[in-house]
Amino acid sequence: MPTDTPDADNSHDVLDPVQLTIVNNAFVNICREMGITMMRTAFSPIFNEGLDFSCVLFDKDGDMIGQAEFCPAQLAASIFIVRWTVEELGANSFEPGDVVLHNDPYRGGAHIPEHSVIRPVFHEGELWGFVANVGHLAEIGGKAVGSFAADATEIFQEGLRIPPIKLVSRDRNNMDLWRLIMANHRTPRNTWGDLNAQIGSLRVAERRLIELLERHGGDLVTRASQELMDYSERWMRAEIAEIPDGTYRFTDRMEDDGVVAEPVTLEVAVTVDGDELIVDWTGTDPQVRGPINATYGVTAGAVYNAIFHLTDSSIPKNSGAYRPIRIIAPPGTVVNVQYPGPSVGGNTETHPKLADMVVGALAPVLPDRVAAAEGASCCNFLFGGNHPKTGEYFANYHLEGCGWGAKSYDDGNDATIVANGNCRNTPVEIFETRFPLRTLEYSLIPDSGGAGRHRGGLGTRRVMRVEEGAEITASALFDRTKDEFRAWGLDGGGPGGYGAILVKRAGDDAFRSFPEAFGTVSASKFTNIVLRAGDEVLLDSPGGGGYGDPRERDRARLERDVAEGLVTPASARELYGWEQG
Amino acid sequence: MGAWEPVVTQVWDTVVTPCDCCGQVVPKQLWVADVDGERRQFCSPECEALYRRYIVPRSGQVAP
Amino acid sequence: MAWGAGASDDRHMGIRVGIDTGGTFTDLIAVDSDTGEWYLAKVPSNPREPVAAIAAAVEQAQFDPANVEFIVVGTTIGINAVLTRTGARVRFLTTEGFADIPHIQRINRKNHYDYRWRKPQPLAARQDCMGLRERVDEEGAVVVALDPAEVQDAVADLDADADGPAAVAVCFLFSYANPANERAARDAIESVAPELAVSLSHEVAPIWREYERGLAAMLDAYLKPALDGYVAGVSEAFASQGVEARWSLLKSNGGHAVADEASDRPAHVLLSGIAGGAIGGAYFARRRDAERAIVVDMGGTSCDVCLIVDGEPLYSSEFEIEFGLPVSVPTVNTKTIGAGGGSIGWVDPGGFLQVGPQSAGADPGPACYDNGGSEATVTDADLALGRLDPDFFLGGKLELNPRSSGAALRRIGDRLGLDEVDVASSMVRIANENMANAIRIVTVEQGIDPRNFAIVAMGGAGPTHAAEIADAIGIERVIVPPNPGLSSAFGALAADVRVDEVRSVSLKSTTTTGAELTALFADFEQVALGNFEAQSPGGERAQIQRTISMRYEGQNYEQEVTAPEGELGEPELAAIVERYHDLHDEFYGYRFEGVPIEMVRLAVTVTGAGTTLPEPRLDAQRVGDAVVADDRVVDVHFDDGGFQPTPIVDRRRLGAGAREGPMIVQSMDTTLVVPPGWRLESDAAGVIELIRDTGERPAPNDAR
Repeated sequence: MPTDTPDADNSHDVLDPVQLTIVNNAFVNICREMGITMMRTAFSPIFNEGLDFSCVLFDKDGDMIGQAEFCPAQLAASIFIVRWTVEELGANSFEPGDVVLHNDPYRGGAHIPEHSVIRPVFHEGELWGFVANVGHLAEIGGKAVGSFAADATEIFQEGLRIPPIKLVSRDRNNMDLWRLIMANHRTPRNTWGDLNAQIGSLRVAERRLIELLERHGGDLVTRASQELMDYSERWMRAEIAEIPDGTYRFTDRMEDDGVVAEPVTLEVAVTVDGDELIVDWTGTDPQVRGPINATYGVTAGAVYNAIFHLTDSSIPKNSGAYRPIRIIAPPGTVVNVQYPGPSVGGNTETHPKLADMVVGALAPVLPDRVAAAEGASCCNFLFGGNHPKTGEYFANYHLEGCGWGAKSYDDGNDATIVANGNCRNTPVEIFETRFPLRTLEYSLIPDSGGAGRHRGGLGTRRVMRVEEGAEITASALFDRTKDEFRAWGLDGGGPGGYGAILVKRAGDDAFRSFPEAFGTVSASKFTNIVLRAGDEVLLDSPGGGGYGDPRERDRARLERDVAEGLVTPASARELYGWEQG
Repeated sequence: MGAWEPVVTQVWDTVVTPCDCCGQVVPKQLWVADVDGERRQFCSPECEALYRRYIVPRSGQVAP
Repeated sequence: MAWGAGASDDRHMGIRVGIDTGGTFTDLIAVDSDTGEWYLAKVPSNPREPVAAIAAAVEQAQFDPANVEFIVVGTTIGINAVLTRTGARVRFLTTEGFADIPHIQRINRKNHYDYRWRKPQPLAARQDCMGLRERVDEEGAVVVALDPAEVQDAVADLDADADGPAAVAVCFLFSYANPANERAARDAIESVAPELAVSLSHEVAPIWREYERGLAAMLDAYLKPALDGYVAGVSEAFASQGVEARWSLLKSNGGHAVADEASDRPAHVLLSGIAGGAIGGAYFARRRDAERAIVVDMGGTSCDVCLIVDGEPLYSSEFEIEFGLPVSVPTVNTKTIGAGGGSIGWVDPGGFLQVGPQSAGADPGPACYDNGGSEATVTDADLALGRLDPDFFLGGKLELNPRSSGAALRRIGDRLGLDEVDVASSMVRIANENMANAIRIVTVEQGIDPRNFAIVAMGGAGPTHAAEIADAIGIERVIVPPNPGLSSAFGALAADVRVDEVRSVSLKSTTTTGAELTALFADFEQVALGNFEAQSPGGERAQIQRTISMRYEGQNYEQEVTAPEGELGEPELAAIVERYHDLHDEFYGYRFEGVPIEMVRLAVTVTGAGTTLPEPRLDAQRVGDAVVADDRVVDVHFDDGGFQPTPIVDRRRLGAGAREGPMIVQSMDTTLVVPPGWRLESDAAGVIELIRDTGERPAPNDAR
């Protein structure tokens, strides 16, 4: 090992910055290669089409040294899972060719469907580091098809919980464990395919990392990775130092937890103290009974997501970048769920609201970097059943894009996936080929963008009808479906439109809410409702908030909005003070 | 000042221990310290410092 | 395609011409099949009058226009119209309830953490997107028939004369399964407005995914009026130069088609300009018996990378013009990387040296152009290392100022505590490593290990960096064509007739039969052969290739498996399935026996037997009055050994034979750098190959 004295001045020991750039780019590239391999071979649509996974490299101490641009929801989860797993199992328990599997939300995970696999990498006979990835398996058992139990009250209803275990020992599958897992998932063949895609991509990354170590030498890469973390830390500190010191607060609410029909309050205080940030969630409601609770990994990920939106996006995303950001998430609250509380919706519904809150808190001091709130709901709609034409069992996880918030300089994007993920929608032609539902409409909702000098983005409407001969079991997990919970605007901008999930049963004339039609507690969160042929479902996604006084909106842009039908003439007159038309 | 203590678990202990300051999981080693006469467990000495510097002055206060 | 000293192919007598009209230059390469004489021309392009440069190039080439037998033109006019959003007004007609799909798109974001990003601007305004009552289901059954009167109402207000050209795009759900309603829409429009151009999605791109298919139809309509105008203009330009020969457009798939017919399918001509480079690169890879190669076409601002496998470029139907705007038609699979001679070196806020993706481009250009650019670029770094000759850059057409480069490099050096040469060599290393990383990603996406590939170096900056990029990847061969800066025009010259037909299908290995596949292929093979014959008046023999895109049921990405011609029985089907398992195992390291395999796309490609070109000759370069620099020895910097005496040789005096690096070879369109440890071999035709001396190979970029 090179001499590594803690003395202040060891500048002659510092590596050539060119080598650091090259090593950093190689780390990122290894993660990208891991991701491409996984995307091309995985079986679940949420994985291969939705790209709901992350790939990361770690040193032997469990510090993250590289990641590529993958799912933001796993930003933090991917860091903590490996560090805590290595600590819990002990670094010396890893042997070459092992793969540890783990999906425990209380041990760093974002929610139970996300499965992490970790493989040690040895160089010259010694443990050098780890390659890991996190992926969302579409079906992992539990009370609801698609493992999104919107009214779960305990983790046992959410699916099969797996603490860190060796699924593969010295490159041999531990088949007893595999069989145990298969027996608890509804679509085990997809699980087999997805986990193999994850493990296969680890081997690709391991091979690449070893090549890098052989090319540059283990010591050099180790030192480079340490200096890269210092470098990211310096850069992040420089960015934070530019924000005026002070404590900035923000409060938002969610409409209910799916079990108890009461609003849930979230609170944050962001303290900028020189080149450090303290993001304190004290004051947030105690952990709720339903599954909108966030794990520590989700809350931390939301904070990092917000900070990365507000700082230079080229800061290398290694552990160093995270060091200046301290997060306080009191255990037993909605932002740090404890055993056995449920948490599956925290990752999709709570994460984007937490991230927006940190952005909103800093709006007074960073007005030209922030954005108003986005729709912030994945609009999770899950269903399963037997296909009437083939008799085969199917399960599907469906989601929608929302309107995004406006900025001080531009409108928000229409119909865009929430900030914690980056999934694509499923084409109607693929959807109808696979599932017995006919889509009747997929459109933008006029006036759903929050009014403002810059307008919020629009939400979408989708209407689907269950086909002849079919019967589906459906679950939903939405938020922002009520007037008083709409996406907030900034600097006088109006709120975005609210979302909805409604049903029109065969023979009915009009859409009704699920509480009206089926007596569910929540209008936006329910599980295992049986829908029959001819029943129609309407999914509206929320719009984004506006920025600035709508009366100051450029008239040419407003008139284009009216001509395109994005804003109705009535709203143009009422909200924007439009005098023509 | 505080001291490291191991987290002792049995096979039936599937619950993890959180840090009293930041709320993170403490997998193996607790940093235990006395703060104003009460035993507090942290993930690290840094969190003890943050607790003394940030949490203690605010505890009992109502947010303005 | 093959080389022949005496043309044995008597179908192509006379002069054959390839033209590439790019944004900056219009290039021309021609060869006389009777005499073996070659003609070259390079003239500045004029984006406002794309046709003028063609006439100028023909004039500069100085061949006898009456002897021209055949011309192929590659053009960027389509892609430019899309990038600048200057195409026609498009009226988009689709199924009722789905008119917003061009605006909703696929809902994913280009980057995480970027509030500034805007979704791609659709090619039709929202009020021009209309839903009509009609419906076809997933099996192709017409559930609701189309009412022609409703179609006619929807286009009644479209007045082509009022605000510029207009065209109609039609994309109904499941039209790939049954196109009846789309055809009925065109009939309805033709009966009232026969002059209105109509693009039907099932004809432009018969694939599933309504956004992508609809976008292909919109692109087609968007470009139609402009491409018609271009084809008419080019025909006139040729006529004005006395050229009466038949001419064709180079298509995105690297094949050519008679211009009047190709302009009926503008979406298939969109990437014509990029295809030429790949075809040209593939030609020279085959010339050096490199069946697997990576074409690296590096210019001032960007670098196009294309993989050659089994001597042919890879094809794709997923090319993206920009994020969120895919072109779902068969296209030479090229990836564009933001790295070129103009890429700028900068120090990031963390104190690290970075190179690109920002570029100084051609204007203001690198600092050494003394044209207003003050930032250090890769070209400045090359100059400071002695790799470029300030008096002989691009054949002496542009004088470079080393003092300006030095000043720009020192500004960076002052921030990093490095001297000018350290900064320059670091920038070159970083730029090369970035390229190597990008190439690795391109190959991994195809499930390919790049190390046993050759690089074909093209463009003004490609040959300058290719050997060191090869070192960083672990590649040991670099091929440099005779005129690396004219390779796209060469590609147009060497292109063949190529017809691609694809069909989306939904078949499973467990339920389909050989007979079913045979019938499906036979159906559209006839269409493809008909198209091919229309392009091949000489009666060339058609070569048919069938491929099936397959994946394990549940996966989302496919591997293409070749299928044999003729009747497919159960043994052939079993062999196809086994080949798929093998491919998956080869690329990803495992196979899933017992999982059904989905077949989602059938493709038929019909190509001609190949174009025979006479052997190029070393003395064939006729462009401009290039300064003949004396051969001499100068100090050039290499990572391996620092500054060292290095001979500079004029490419025309290189002759056939082998030489050892380090060496610099200058020509009118590029500077070739041969680092220490590389051997140069040149053949009589002027094709150069660099070969790594594997014996004493040092670890690339090892610690200093």
